[in-house]
Amino acid sequence: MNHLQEKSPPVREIRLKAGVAHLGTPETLERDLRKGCLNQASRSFSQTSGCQFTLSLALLNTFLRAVVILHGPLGCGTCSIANIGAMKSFKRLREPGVEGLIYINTNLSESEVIGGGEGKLASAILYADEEYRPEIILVAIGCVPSLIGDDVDAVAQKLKNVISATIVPIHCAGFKSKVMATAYDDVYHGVLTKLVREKRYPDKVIYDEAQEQRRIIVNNRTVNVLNVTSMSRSDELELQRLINSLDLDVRFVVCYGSSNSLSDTLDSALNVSICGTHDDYFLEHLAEIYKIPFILDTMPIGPRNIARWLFAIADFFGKHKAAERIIEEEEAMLEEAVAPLREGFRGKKAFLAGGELRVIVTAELLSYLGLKILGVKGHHYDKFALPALEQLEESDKLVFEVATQQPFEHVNLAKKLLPDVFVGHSGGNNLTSKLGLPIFPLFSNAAGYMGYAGAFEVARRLTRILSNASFNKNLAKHCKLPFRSSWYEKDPYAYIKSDGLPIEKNNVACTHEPKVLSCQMKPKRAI
Amino acid sequence: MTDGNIHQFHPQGVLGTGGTFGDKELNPRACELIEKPRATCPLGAQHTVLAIPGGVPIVHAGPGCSSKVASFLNDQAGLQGGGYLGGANVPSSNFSENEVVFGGEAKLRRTIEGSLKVMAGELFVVMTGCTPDIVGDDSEGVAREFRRQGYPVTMVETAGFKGNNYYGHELVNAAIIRDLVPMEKKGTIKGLVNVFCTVPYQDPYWRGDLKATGDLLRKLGLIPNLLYGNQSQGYKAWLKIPKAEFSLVMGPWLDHKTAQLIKDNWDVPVFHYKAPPIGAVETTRFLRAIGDFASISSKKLEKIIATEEAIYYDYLISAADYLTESRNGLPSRFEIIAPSGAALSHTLFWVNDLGFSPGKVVISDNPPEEYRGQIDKYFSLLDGDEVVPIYEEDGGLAARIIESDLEKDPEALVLASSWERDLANRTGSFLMRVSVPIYDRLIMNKSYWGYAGGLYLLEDLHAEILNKSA
Repeated sequence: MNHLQEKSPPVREIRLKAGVAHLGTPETLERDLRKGCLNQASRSFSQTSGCQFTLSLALLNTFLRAVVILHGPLGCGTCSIANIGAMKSFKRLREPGVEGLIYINTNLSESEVIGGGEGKLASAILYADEEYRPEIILVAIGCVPSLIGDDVDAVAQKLKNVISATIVPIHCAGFKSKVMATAYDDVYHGVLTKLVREKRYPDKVIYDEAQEQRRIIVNNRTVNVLNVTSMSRSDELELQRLINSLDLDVRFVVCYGSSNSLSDTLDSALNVSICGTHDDYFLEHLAEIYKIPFILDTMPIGPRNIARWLFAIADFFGKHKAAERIIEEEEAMLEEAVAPLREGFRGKKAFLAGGELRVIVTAELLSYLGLKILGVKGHHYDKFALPALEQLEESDKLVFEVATQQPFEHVNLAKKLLPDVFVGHSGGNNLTSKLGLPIFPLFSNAAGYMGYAGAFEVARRLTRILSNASFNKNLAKHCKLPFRSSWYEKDPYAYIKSDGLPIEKNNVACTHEPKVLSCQMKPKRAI
Repeated sequence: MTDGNIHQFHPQGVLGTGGTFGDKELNPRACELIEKPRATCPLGAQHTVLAIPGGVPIVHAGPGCSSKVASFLNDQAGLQGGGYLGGANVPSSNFSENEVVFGGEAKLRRTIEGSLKVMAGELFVVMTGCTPDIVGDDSEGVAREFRRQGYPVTMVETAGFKGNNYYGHELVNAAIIRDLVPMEKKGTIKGLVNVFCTVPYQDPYWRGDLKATGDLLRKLGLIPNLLYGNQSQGYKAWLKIPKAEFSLVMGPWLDHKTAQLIKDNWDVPVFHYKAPPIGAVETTRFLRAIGDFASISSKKLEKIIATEEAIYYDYLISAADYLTESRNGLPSRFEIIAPSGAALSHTLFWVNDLGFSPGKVVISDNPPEEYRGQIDKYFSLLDGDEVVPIYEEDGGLAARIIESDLEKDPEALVLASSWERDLANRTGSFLMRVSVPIYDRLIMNKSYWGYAGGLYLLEDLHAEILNKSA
């Protein structure tokens, strides 16, 4: 794979045949994925999902000593304000005293829609450079400039030599992809083309052979771990602890990266992903261009997946025996810690919703703790969920839904499945809490979930949440959900259909026939 | 873009008189970039629909548009949440590449059909974003099809590049009144008053504000026709608009056109009041003015005022023991960044009620040119000093305007947003959060309006002061 000569990466619908609409079991899901049927499925009615622009910002907002320019009208990026406080404190956990998030909106108006927004963007870049002196200027390009044809790369090219910051255009227009995770490719594309580069070492007057050898030795023992925005600093420290125990050094890259740390990316022996959905574009390019091997497998959440993840790294360095010893020790300690909590989990049923890989590994962790898994819902689905699915017991009995948000479907489903706890992604938890269910957030960037320490942390907090759900139950008693009662009588997948695209012929065997809708609601009165 | 010469982009050239980029003038801060935004795009008016019980916005826009404005108006407006249908529940056509190429009307039609079947709502407002408006969908035509079949569906063009959500709010009000309120008028309900005084969610205190306004009107024996919030009857309230005795508009420009539309359609007179009243001085003036307009007997009116003022000043007189004793150590100047209505309300309160002197008043809601002369006039009629308001939509520049004042003399009260938290901490001044974004306070039913509101405001200010000094 090498798309770096292109302006922007291909969307995931095409590159990975990813899909955003399905309801069945892991078996039907895999079948539909293979036939390309999943890729074509969509909804005839949908609720707001979220776009790759928003998700790109989640990554871009973490960069240190950077200014983010949102090239679009005023509304694109007002979501960034949510990150202002958190970003400052999270950035300072990585580098004390560093500036929080700075962003500028180009505020495109009707006259730019007609006359082009390049001039305004150029002004914004010059202003950002003059005012804040950042190392990096990240330009997130929204729908409007993409539709009216602003040539952002040309603007960046022209300004390259007159400002000190590196300009990184990110092509992430929301309309381009239904799979939000395409955002990761967009951001990595920008990072790969503008920020990752081979270092040039100046000729030294006195050549220090020992120092040179030391550098090589250190690099050969350094592992890049690709962090994600949904993990906390304590997750990073836990993974660092585990890898250090194999006598290896760790560098966390991309999120919370700076111009300096990103240009160090190539000084490593191995790149390790903690989320396949997140990283394949970055890793495969580094492997192809700079010949750095990578591991892209499962996510280190829950004992089975932690072991699988750690063994993969250890095996690469020929340290299988050491890993065996560490894992055995850690698992024994974890077991001892969670044993007294297991009683509280017995017989409890869980439903999980969120990123495709994260829900599956978290399901494995919950079933290790003694909960029963009723079903999972992934934002989208592609081949990267397969390794984790292998680790899950009785996965064939699960309900597997694929939807980006779409609470009308999962509220319907939750009402039918009747779980005891809902483990969900932000944005859906609030709606599900109104059903009266205890809610356990699927991730938090301020709490631990990963590694052995994270597993215990999850058990501890889940115990607390299950012990008293009064608040949510009170809410449910007084809360009317915004759906017609007739909707609950329908199947949750009633609006999933195969779009009338050329591939339709292959779709006949799909479980869900296209449904024709007609409006059955009676008009109340004539107007 | 033509080939510009590189030297023209040199920062020194740019920061002076500005170079050119192609045929565009280059002057970084003269071209209306926005930092520290204090409003969102017109699509933010989906929250005006959400504020109507039973109101369902149907967003015909990109997949992330609705959730972006929701993030601003649910979370960063006092963490107040989206209510009945907020957040991820908003129906959306999630306009994508296929629709860019082939047009999105069919997709919109399916989304409206689905919304009518799945979502339990009483009125439906289709709201477009940038993409369908650029590719030229006839969204109004699609909405009309449903309306002709008898469904309560209307439509507004709220593309992001057309302005801000204050503009969108007026569009939504006008569309519902135009399309979903029948033209024939069946009588007048005595004492019924249509209330236009706030932009739901964008005014983070809107729930409490509407309640406070309703309470004031009820004291006078009037019946508030509240169009938004938990005391509203939803669509029924909108259907009652033609039967009102008059419409009350509080604020220097917002919803003036809405009230005019109601007047044109059904001959409902309009009572304008310059700004929502805070504290005793202004609330009493407001009650006398509206009492006069609604022909309430002055005897009754003065009795109500006397009762309210007695209570208000009892609290204040008691607190004066503390307030006047330590007056020298307390701030006596204020700086404001707020939309025009809130800026005027607060200026009137702090100057007329409490004897503060005004610093800079920065108005952030970009009021239409035609109203600015009148707004300037309102600010010149204070009991104490005169204020010349500064109109600045760019929140970054707005912050810098008050920053220079605070650096000279930090002993001041800052009436602004969470953006100013660091500035207030750095300079040692006191921040009161009166305009969005507010992401470090939870707001539920608080309001600073009316007699009681003035006291709450004073309590909150002194919580801030005592937190730092006591």
